[in-house]
Amino acid sequence: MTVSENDGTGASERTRSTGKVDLGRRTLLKASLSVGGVLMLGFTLPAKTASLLGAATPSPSEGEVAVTAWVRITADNQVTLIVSQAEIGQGISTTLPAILADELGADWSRVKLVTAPFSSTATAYRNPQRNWMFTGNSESVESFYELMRKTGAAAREMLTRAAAARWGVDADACRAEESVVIHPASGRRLTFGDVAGDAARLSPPEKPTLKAARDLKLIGKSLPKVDVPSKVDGSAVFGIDFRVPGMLVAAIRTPPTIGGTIKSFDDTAVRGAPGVRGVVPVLNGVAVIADTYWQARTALAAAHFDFDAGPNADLDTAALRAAYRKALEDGPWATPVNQGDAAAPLRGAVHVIRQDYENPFAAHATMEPMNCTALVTADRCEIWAPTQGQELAFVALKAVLGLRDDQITVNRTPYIGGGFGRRLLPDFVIQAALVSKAVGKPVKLIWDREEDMRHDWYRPATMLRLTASLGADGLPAALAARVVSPTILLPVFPPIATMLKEQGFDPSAMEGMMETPYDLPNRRVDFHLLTIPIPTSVMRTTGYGPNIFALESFIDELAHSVRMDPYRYRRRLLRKNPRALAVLDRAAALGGWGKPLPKGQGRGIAFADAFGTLLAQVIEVQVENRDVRVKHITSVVDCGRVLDPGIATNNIEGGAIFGLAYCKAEVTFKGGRAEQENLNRYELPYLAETPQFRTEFIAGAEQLGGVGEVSPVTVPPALANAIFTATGERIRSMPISRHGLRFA
Amino acid sequence: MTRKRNACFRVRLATGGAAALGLAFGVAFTASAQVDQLKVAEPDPRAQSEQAFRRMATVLTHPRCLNCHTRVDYPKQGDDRHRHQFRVLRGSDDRGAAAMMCSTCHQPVNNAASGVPGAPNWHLAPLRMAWEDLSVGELCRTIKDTSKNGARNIPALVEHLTGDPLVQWAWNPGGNRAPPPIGQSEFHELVRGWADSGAACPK
Amino acid sequence: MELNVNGKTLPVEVDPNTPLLWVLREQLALTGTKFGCGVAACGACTVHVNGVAVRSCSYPVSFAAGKRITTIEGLSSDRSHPLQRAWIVEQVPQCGYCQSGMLMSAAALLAVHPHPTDAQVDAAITNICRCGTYPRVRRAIHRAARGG
Repeated sequence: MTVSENDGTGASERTRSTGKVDLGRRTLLKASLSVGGVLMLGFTLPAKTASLLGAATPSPSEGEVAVTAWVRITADNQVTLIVSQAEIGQGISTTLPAILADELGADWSRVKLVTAPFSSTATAYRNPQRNWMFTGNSESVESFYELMRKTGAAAREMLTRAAAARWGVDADACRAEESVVIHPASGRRLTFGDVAGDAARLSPPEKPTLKAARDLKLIGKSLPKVDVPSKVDGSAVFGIDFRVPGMLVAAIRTPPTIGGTIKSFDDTAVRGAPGVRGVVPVLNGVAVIADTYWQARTALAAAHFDFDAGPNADLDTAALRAAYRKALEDGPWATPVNQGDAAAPLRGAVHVIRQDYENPFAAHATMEPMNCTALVTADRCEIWAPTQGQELAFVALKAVLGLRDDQITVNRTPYIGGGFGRRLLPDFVIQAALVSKAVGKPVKLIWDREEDMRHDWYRPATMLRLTASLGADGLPAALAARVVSPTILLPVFPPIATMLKEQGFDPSAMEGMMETPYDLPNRRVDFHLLTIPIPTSVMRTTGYGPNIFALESFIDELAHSVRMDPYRYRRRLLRKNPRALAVLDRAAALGGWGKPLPKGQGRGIAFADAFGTLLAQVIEVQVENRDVRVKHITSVVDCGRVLDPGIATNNIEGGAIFGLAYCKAEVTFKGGRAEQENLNRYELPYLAETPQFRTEFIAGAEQLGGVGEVSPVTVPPALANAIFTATGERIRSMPISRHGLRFA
Repeated sequence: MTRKRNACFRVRLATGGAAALGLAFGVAFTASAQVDQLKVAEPDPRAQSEQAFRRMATVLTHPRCLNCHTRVDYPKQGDDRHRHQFRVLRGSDDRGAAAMMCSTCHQPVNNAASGVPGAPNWHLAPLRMAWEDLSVGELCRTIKDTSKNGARNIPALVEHLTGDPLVQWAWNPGGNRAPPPIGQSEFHELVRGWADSGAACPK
Repeated sequence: MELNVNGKTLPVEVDPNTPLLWVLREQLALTGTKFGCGVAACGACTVHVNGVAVRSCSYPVSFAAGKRITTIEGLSSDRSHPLQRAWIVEQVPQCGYCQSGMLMSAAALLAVHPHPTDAQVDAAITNICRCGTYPRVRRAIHRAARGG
């Protein structure tokens, strides 16, 4: 169990980082004392770590030898590892390469990391379980863990055998560590670089021997993250910072309404503007290309557009809600879950509780707006994008450009200013490619924030109706749920179109409803796949978030209806699930459940089994004059083995704040367009609103659960439950501003 | 509307000269609602001065002014006078908190690119110059109170209201912000007229 | 015109109305300062002008003439600024996009309040972080204030 506690004064203990290279405290102390004459005792910098650099080429560069597809070694022993998964802040560019490096026996402090390309000659970096290259759905660790270990072990065996062959000794008598192969008996050493050429000629072993747990040095530790150094000195190159020689920059405007078109466009003022190199219609929009972004943007602003608002000109939030409500009442329904006999207990039952819940539209609002750099010629397309979906981009580019597989490469920039699922979509990649093709030069296309928020693929609103009949023991004898939601998975995973059509439900939008950790033998879930004109897709928490908001609020309402403590009520429902009970109990204990609170303060609890992880959260609030002050968020997490406690904690605590954002901001529509076009209208949480955190991990099983998006799942219902306890007021929708509340 | 900026404004109130003065004021306020009052007999010089301030107050209590003359520890924003976003605070010197000063975002001119309004020396009026929730009379007395108004005598007040660039910004606020209900030059004349007529305060 | 950026005087040829943000990023290739919103709402573009925090998306480059501009690249040449060291120890950044602005705001805070209270940190740091690194930002500021 690892504890990290934050009491907000900087005096808290932090999980210690251990790295491979110990620079020695004395050296650090001396060095730190000399900085500005400030005494910095006790200042331990994390040990040196690998560094995340650029994008890899499909094949090894000059002087590099590939030992497996993931490891490249130079003669002077520079080990470079390929990073398949997009670093979007979740730390995956540290964890997965560290697993590989640990198994390999590389000197982690010297390893260089480069991001994997996707091309016809670089397909090795696909998610092995999905056979598709993407980063999302909290699947990276679970999907790649074994592959990373096996690959590291395979490369280690190849290098060891190559060295052993040189020495004429048994490979088993050799060891690899710190990027060197050693024969302890004779003391001979050869670097990886010395033997890489020989190793590369060997066939990778089918079943390499993995290291014993006691021999692992990186896995399970809180490692210094490989991307932190460049993110504190401005050197990290995000997509929007990317440059290639001869590059131009483009700004784009598309019709502001959903489904709108451009009737006419007057670019007289644009073409002569300073720095402008071209004006190009792109799909439903117009791009201005110039030497600099500001020139492009300024020129674009001078253009006169006559937009046709299109078929959704009257679309507004009221109309949308009416459509949702109608579907909630009338269906029709697919019934993906029908267990036991959900109907029987409901008939003639005395104690039936029914409530409707609503989730609002949400914007991804990544801090870095959408952008992409493209170089497209008659027979080549090269992309550098901050993308989560390289393969989908590749497929889309191929279709749009009509090029062959071997003519397209999608590179991923090493740094990405937030993803949350938005960057799985290829829309901005296609635009950039078309602009480049039109001007015959490399072009970096940047969306301004307004374009970004108008043309999001929003997390959709959903509506749910939950009905339960309670038995004599107060527990639900049956639970029926109606879920109304548009698709979220289709835009990022087109192959499910058939399933949507045939089965009538979106599997991602059903997450949290398909299965339940609670003992609910009679359960039915009806799903209405709503069609709305608004583009919707996955966003951090996918279907779990909206569904669990309803479910965990409802469980609380059931508990209160029979005057049972919500924590104890959940204990009863989880009584057959000892692993879940352990998590719930620890959260209640750590969160101070049951300790008296002054009037106007309250605690709420929520539990979820999501992304392969069990999570219980207790939120404590103070509500005064409609001001909601979130004081504590306690999270207890069982994600199985914790590969990196520091990174896992970051994901849980940062994720909780992302969850608070779901309670603070929403997207509304009027006149066929989003009303919130910038961050001054879509207000996100501030540091001053941040609660204190207590986060603990329990390794309840061997499996690897995801931690990237589980914490925002339980925050909205735990918050709603806490507000109820503090005020007696039950809110069944977010954000809290709908109910006249605001965060303080 | 003809506004004769004439010597009448500089005529001091004197007993016996009231009728003539009243006529002069009548000319000055042709377009105003005071016309009806003037048709009624006996113009009262003090009442005229007070009335001038009442008109001034429609500007002073307009959001463009009141948003920075708040009585709380933050500015307000917009024609609807909501609390300034982004957790902007007054700070100990009325110029914002450290690292979040008014000048962090507000520059000496309006910024078309970002939409952020600007004027020289953008900052909050100190709390002793808070005007929120004051009656017109209280507002007047506060403005004239030299212990609160930065030791400004009447001429200095006039200078502030007619010359200070931050004050003048109200008539060029940028964006969709509504300017005050009285035009800038009319307001200047109003202020001078009020000052010249004794700077009387309504009750 | 000439700009004084991170201690160097650099000539730039640019429309004087160009926001300082874009001059830094494009003409001067200092891409550490980020574009997040363009309306001074998020703080990703925060730099120092004469030591004071300024949101450079809302600051015409013409106003920078004759003033000392400091960007994230100018905090130190080797990540040795106390805040940078604290940021590394506390492992603050996640996606990292807001962090340049966050660090510049924190530096401006410490210049005025070398040992800030939590309330002073709350008031000074209004930069938006979508990933929610705020608890570590707070810890790192206090760590830097303590001298490590």
